[in-house]
Amino acid sequence: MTANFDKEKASERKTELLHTFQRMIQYASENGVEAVIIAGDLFDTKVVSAVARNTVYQAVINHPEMTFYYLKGNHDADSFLDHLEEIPDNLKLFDTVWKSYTANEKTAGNICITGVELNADNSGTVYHTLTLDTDKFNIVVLHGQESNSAAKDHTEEISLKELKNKGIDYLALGHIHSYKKETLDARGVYCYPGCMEGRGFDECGEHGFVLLDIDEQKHTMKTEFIPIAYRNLYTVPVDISGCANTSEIAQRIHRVLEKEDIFAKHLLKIVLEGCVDVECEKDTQLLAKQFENDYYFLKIYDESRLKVDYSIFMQDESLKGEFIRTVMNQSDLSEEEKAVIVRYGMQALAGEEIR
Amino acid sequence: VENFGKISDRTFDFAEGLNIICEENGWGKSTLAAFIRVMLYGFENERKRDDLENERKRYRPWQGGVYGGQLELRAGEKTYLVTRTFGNKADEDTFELRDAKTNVVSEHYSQHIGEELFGIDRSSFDRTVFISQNDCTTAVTDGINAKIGNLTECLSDISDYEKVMDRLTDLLNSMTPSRKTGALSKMKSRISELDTSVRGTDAVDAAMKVLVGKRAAKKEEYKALKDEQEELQKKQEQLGTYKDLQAKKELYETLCRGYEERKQKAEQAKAYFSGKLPSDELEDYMEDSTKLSTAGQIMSVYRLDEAQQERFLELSEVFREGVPEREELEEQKQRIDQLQELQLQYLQQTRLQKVQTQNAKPRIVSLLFIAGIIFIILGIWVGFIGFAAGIICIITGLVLKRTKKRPVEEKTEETDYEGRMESCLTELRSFLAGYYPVQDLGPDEAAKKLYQLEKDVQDYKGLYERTEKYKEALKICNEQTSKIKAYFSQLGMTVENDISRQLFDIQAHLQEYRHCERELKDAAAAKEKFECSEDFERIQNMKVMETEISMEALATSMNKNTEQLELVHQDILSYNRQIEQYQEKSDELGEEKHELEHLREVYGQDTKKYERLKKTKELLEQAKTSFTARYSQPLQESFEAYYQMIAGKDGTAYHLDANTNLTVEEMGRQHETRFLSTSYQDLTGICMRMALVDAMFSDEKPFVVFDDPFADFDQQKITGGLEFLKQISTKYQVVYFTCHESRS
Repeated sequence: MTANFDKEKASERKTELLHTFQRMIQYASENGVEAVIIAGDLFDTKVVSAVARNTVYQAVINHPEMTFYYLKGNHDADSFLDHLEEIPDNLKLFDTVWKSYTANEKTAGNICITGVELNADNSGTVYHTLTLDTDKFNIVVLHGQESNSAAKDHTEEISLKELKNKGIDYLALGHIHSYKKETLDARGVYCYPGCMEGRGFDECGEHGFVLLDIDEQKHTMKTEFIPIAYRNLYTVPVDISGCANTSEIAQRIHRVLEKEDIFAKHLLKIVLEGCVDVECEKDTQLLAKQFENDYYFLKIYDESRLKVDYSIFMQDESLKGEFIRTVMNQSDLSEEEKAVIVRYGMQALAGEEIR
Repeated sequence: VENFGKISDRTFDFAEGLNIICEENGWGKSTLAAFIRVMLYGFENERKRDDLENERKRYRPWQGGVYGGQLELRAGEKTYLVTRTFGNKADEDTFELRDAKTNVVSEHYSQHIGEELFGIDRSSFDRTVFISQNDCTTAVTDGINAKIGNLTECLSDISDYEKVMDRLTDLLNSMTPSRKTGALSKMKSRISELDTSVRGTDAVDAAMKVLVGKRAAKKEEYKALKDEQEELQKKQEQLGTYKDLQAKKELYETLCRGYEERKQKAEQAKAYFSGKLPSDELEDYMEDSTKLSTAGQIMSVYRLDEAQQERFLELSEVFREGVPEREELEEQKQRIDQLQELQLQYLQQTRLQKVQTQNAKPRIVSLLFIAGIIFIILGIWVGFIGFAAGIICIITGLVLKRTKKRPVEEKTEETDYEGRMESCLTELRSFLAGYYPVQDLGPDEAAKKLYQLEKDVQDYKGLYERTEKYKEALKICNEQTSKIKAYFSQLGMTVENDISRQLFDIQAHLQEYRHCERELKDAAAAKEKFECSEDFERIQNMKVMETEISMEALATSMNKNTEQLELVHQDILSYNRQIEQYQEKSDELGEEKHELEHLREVYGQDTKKYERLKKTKELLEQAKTSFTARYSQPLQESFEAYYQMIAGKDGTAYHLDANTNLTVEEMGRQHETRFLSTSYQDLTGICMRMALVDAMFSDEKPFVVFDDPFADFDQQKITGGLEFLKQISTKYQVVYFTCHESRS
């Protein structure tokens, strides 16, 4: 989690992640889903809490009507499986060599789920050993970062190039935390469903899973992204150029948020952008206080630049004028640093709080 | 001056240039100087309790009256009249400003007219244009600096410089990374702490990896043991099945043996019957046998012994003509009673006749009575004879008594006892004669005979009945015996003596045979059932185990395996617990890592801010230096000129730094002027003040007040001082107070 929550909220979010997993299973159960494919990173830490472990385990054993295909990712610890006395019948695992399962054994028997867990030893050779029955509907499961070049030493890279024209209908990938679906070749597509809840502001937007509806007779499929995240994260840039004080900035933020229409349950990062005068009175803490009760979590990042009109102070005989001219003449300082120092100095001379 | 200290109702006019007021001590020169200052700046030290320090109290009019006065002054092109009165407190003071020409109230200046007019505060005023007695030295105040820089419009800027620097210093101190109390230092310390802790992550991970490895090894071991357990269980099952089959085989063999035994037994039992087996009629013959037994018992009960047979024969003879009926016997018994009655009556009659005649014999009567009673009692116990004797005695007694009492009556038919007795006796005899030879039987003998008859009848009947029953039983016995014997011959059996026993034997044998037959049937059924079961084929095909392990050995192995499994399981649990602990630690480390990342980010930002603040402070100092440097040179020059005027020598040994601090160079080192003698301190002070006044008031010059500043000067310097006054009075209005003509 990278949103810098306090302990209470961090704990709450962990619980929500598990709850979202349960809601996904519930959705699958209610919609007659037969197979759940987890393409790695089921857990994002080496350490899996007993609650998380049990939640997943219970989800598996309480839904014998579904088969879970679980391919371990780089974040997944062995400890989840290590703690299981025995692997439930409906939990299918993959190995470091290609392993295939028939998903619809009881009916047409023509949907094949094949996967391999990449490591340093096999990452270079797996592409050559993949053989699929092209008469079947082939789902291939892998975990890693997509790459369009042939991967050699990159354990966590998946060479899409090497996977083309192999008879793959759907390449189920895991690793990237945002939804992405692209064409693989003339026959198939590759898709990252992303994670089901955004955990930091680098994982903004809607999160969920991909529902794959395969017509086993016609050999066709429909894919649909199902948003399931309980809370989404949003980064909202606000241009505060021209604002002279905190109040004006607040008004500007308010106007932007009105347009965004983000629900109160979500998490929000407001990024102040643009250029303000060096004498602009700007209190980001006050701004955060002003808006924090409107959302589950809110933080304000000030990335605005300061604008100093040095010409105004050229003839200024006051100490301020002298100071600004002194700063202006500092060749070892960047313009940004000069602006900040000017701002500090002016705030200090004006008897204001130095921010 | 209306009233101010000791000065009352006085007017002073000051001309352009030098105004010298030379009055002796106590005249009120300092009071007048103070008046001018108070009219411009108000009182100082109002809160002091000391009357000398508290100006309002110090200059309270000695003679009373209105406390205050007026001051006419010119500023720019305007002349103003300042009127001030002072109360006991500041809020009782009045201030009025009028245009001196028009007398119109002016608002050009407020009660802070001093600051507004000169652009400096009272402190700066005291340090420059107002040189009071014994206070020639000066120090540059922010106000002076501000005034020097001609920055009255933004006085707060430079005048607050020290405050600004203090705030920056405080802020930097609060953030400093070099002191423990600084936020950055604290943050750094926490980062270092977290860093050390987080650095343990690898160790925790490594330890966890080792433990996971160990656990995996144990799991392998556990799996191997589980496999072994399964193998053992399989063997146990096989052995169990084998044992089970073996047991079943044994059971089958037992069943077969049982069947054969029962078959043999049944045949043996059947052999008893030599061909024909009795059927259900045996039960009938058993009943016959029962009847035979019963008849035999009856016969044994009713069989007459010899004496009884003799008696029966004897009695048969007696009753050959028939047995008297009971009624007949009763009738005869009544007859005997009657006879006895008659006998008694007859005896009484006879006794009465005798008493009457011989006064009869009472004693005999009594005795007869007594004897009669005794006999009756005895008769109850002894028998009929006794009883009869008793009756007779009593009757006799009664007869005698009657005879005694009654008068002798005449013999009637009724009283003819003898006849009647004879008649009865005859009838009795006649009855008894049908059974016994009863000739000449007396009444008593007849009675006895009758009773004997009664008994004989009874005996005869009993014996007859027994004889009849015996005969009947004998008949049955014979019949049944014949029947059973016929049955025996039907069965082809030799008749034994005790046919009932023989029958029982047959029944017992038959029961045994049937029992054997049943058992044989059961055994055959069990055998057949077993042969039809699934196990039979397995038993038939059963092979002997080549290396048969004993159940005990297997159980021992199983126990050992279970113990090992339990131990390994405990080890796995222990590893799980350890791993859990490490996981918790890893969790904590994860949180610490996040905190560390966050703190590092904040530390980076704050460090940047700190550095920029430091730079801000540095550049601000630099700016201030540049700012002050702009006037330090003219100030230096001005100082040196005035020094030359008063001291009559070069003042180049004196240096003025950017912060307007004056130092004197001696022996190659610069010293603060406070180490100079009093006169030189006064001298440099006066020069510095005037240099500052020059710098501060470049346009309109103020008046300058000198309250006897040359008191500590030697004559040479006094001369120089007076020259100095003359020189400056060309530019300034100078008010010079002195108490001695030598200094005027």
